[in-house]
Amino acid sequence: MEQNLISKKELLDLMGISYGQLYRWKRKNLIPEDWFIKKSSFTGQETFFPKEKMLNRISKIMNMKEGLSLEDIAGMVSPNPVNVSFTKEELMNRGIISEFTLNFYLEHHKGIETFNFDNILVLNIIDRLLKSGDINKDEGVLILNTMEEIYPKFEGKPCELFVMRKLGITSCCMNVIPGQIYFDEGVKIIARINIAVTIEELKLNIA
Amino acid sequence: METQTKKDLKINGDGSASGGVYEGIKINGSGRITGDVDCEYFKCNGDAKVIGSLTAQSAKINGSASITGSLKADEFKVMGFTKVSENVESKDTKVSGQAELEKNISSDSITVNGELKIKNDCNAEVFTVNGAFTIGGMLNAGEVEIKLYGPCRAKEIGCEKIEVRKGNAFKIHNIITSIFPSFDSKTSLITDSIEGDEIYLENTRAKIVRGNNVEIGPGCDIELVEYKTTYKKSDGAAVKEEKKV
Repeated sequence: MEQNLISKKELLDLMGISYGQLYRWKRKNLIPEDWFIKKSSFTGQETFFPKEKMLNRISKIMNMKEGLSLEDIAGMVSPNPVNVSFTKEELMNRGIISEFTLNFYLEHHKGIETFNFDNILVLNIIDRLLKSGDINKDEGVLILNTMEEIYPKFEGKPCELFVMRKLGITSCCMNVIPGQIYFDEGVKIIARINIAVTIEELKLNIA
Repeated sequence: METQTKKDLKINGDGSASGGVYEGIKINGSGRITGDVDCEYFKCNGDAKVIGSLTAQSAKINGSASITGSLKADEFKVMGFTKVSENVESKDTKVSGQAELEKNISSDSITVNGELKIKNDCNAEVFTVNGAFTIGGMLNAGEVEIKLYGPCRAKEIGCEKIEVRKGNAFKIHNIITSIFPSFDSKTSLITDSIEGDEIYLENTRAKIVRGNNVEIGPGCDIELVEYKTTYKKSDGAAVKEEKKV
């Protein structure tokens, strides 16, 4: 699959940033090394970036810049979880997770009082799916159990979650990105959630 | 018996020890440490070999040292010769002799008054050189200040500000080259590309120079200059093509 690329020069013009800024962000790990794609051109080598990812990342950095140090931003854009713990009330009051989902979660994890980042991540995904009406409560349990069991095995690698249904029976799986996955014709994919993107959004919400 | 306090390790003469956690390590003579080492300070006045990684608040090498693993230190000072086989992470790096790094280095500040060789990339906020360096990959720094006293090489340079000037040690040589400006490859910076906001170059050979404010000084040989705001070129410089973008 040919990725949509943007050259360094086009990028700087488009976003109105300078070489200095770009290199500073790279040094601070705001832009991952593997987004710098070298290609040969008539002037020797030219650097290209995956267009969509890069434009998103840069507008994010520029929007966040005020009041945050580059180190803080680096922490937010990295796929690694942050160290947080919230109580049920905090999560509800800040509108991160709905009460319905929290109660549902507590039915399965009785007595839990504080939620760490991984808990919140799973909750957030289930919350979204329940709210959108894509899944029912039983299917929520399935996703909850699957994610809690499988997700730690990825050890922070970017991955995605598939929820699919065939002949009325729901199933779900997780897959490393970039990867390829194919299903037979009868399978209907109900939801496909990019975990890395969800983590980024979530970090912004709870920061 | 196990105690909570960390011990010092001193090798005077010839000796070897195993790695571990120490308060301080001092090697006067020849020492060999097998295993990863974690200590407050590491000082070598002689010849040291660490077969493993070194983590220290301060690592000072006054003789010769080789580390087969990685190095992590707040302060990394080389007054003699040091070779590190894996990545180096430091806050303050000073090389007053020679350092050979087989992977990458990332340090807030790097000062070279001798020679620094890096196989891959070099990341620094401030990169100051009075001497020579070879960087096999990219030099990415906030501020680059180079006084050329020897061959300086980098595959590519990306920075906010770069200033490259000829070292002023050889006065007569300077007079000769000011009369006959020719490219002097012994004390020069050679790189494929330089990209930055503020650029001033002397005695530099590059395929591409891109920046906002670019000044090409005497002794330069540049194939293509792309500038955004201002551009100046001195008489003793050769620029094949210049473009305002």
